[in-house]
Amino acid sequence: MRLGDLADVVRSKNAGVHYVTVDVLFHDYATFEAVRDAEVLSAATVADRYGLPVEDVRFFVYEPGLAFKATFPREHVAGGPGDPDLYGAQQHAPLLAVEVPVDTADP
Amino acid sequence: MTLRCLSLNGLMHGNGFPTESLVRGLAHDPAFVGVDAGSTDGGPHFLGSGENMHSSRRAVKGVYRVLLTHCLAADVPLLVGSAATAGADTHVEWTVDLVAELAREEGLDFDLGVVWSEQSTDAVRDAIDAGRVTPLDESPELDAATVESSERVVAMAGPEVFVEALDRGADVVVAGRCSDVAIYKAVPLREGYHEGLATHLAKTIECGALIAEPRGGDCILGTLTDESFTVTPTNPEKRTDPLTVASHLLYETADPTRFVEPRGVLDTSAASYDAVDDRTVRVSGSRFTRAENYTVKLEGARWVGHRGVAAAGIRDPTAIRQLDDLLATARTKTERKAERLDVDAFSLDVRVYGRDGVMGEREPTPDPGHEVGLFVEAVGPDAETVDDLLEEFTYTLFVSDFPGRQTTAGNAAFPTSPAHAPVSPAYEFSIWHRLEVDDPLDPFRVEVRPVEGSG
Repeated sequence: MRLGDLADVVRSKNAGVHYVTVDVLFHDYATFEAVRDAEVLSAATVADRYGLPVEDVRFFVYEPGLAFKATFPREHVAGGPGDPDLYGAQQHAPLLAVEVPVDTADP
Repeated sequence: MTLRCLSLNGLMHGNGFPTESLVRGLAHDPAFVGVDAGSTDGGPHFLGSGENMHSSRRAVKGVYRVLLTHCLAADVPLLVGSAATAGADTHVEWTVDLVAELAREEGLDFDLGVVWSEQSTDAVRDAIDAGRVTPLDESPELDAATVESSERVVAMAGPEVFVEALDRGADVVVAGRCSDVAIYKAVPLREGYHEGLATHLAKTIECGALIAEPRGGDCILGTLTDESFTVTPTNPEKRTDPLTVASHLLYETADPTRFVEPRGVLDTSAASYDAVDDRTVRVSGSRFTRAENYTVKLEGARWVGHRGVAAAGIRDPTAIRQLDDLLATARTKTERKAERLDVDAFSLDVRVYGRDGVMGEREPTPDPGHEVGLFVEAVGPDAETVDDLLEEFTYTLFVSDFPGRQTTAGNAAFPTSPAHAPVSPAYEFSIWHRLEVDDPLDPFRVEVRPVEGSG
């Protein structure tokens, strides 16, 4: 299934003026665990989807929030000339299409 | 020991918060009420221009009227951080004037603490020379020229400025730029609470009811003891659970378990989150490691020119197929015009919505649809130049020939007349650095003054 169909929240936001951070949150432990154990969501996946070197991506598995998080440098300093996304709020979309090898959202 | 505190909402602006939530919170006799009034999220404009992001003065004054009257009547200190968006001196003055005006209108007498966070060019230059300024995140090394070219530089205070103002008798504190956490950490720190728990509580409630569902600006009551803290929305229609509280640590942060603050680092990796009931969550296990050196963040913004914009749509399929060539032609013509006008510094950015307008180079699926939207942004030395450049760009875009062109009456649809318009001065963040200080109060000026509204 697509990650976008499994997750409850997929969002992005500025983390300071130099980084954007993407959060993927689940409401139930089983789905979180299934996605974690599928091992398709990682720094490498994020780097691939955004065309970034993998060393630019910090990736976190955050169990208390049933969440995954990736933080990487913005293309532009936030809000300066040429920056198309002041709040960094629409940078999450490329992750929606990541294929996770689970059959249903309720494994 | 038990300490209760009330967080109003995530961001003080003209939309405010439900008054009943404040009243219910004050009924719990909190040690203080805190609210964050600032953010860098809206971009460099507010630090650069000195303007307030948050609605009109009338709207913001309405919010302060409710706050001041209720907090003073309940004799609960009110702590406002990062006044009027960016927390520069002009923002603090704007807020202090508004508060004084309200005091006169409502006949309120109190002691007002004022914290000034703006830094002089000389002070920052001296700190660079002393080797006390280091880059934060991806910033380059800071040099004197960058400091001199910045409109305003602020330092982000830690909790000590609030402690100082309260120690000197302040009933209300209006602070310039400070860390969001500082607002909520000051009183627990002053009372000697566990710094890990106090910092984690502050971090959890800094955005008010953003940790509750349904989401929206509202109040949160925090209760701190020596072993743990709890959080509860004061609006009975809102609820929290361990997931909503824990997941807030993801919000607008680079790392969900490690938070750098002026006094050190909060580590939440061993924290546990337990439901007390369906509206209250208890948190324990938070740790804080004091830093060897006390550091504050420096933020600066500089003017980069005047900004103008144009929007256009393209529906012709051949034009869309050759769009990059068409845009390159328009750019080349604009650059030539700039040469004729003797303009050597300007920027021209074009976003192609419907293709890669949001993600740019990082778009994994850059496929244009049957129509695309263009947003053109030019920044140049003055409004007249920007107007000239945008006129050249939009005109060339409209009339340029390209192979297979059938749309000889015009290549683009313009939704506005004129097809381009000036916007405002443009700014960029120029300083995002770390400043090492000997004393937490060194970069700040704290004063406490009587406000006699009834006089």
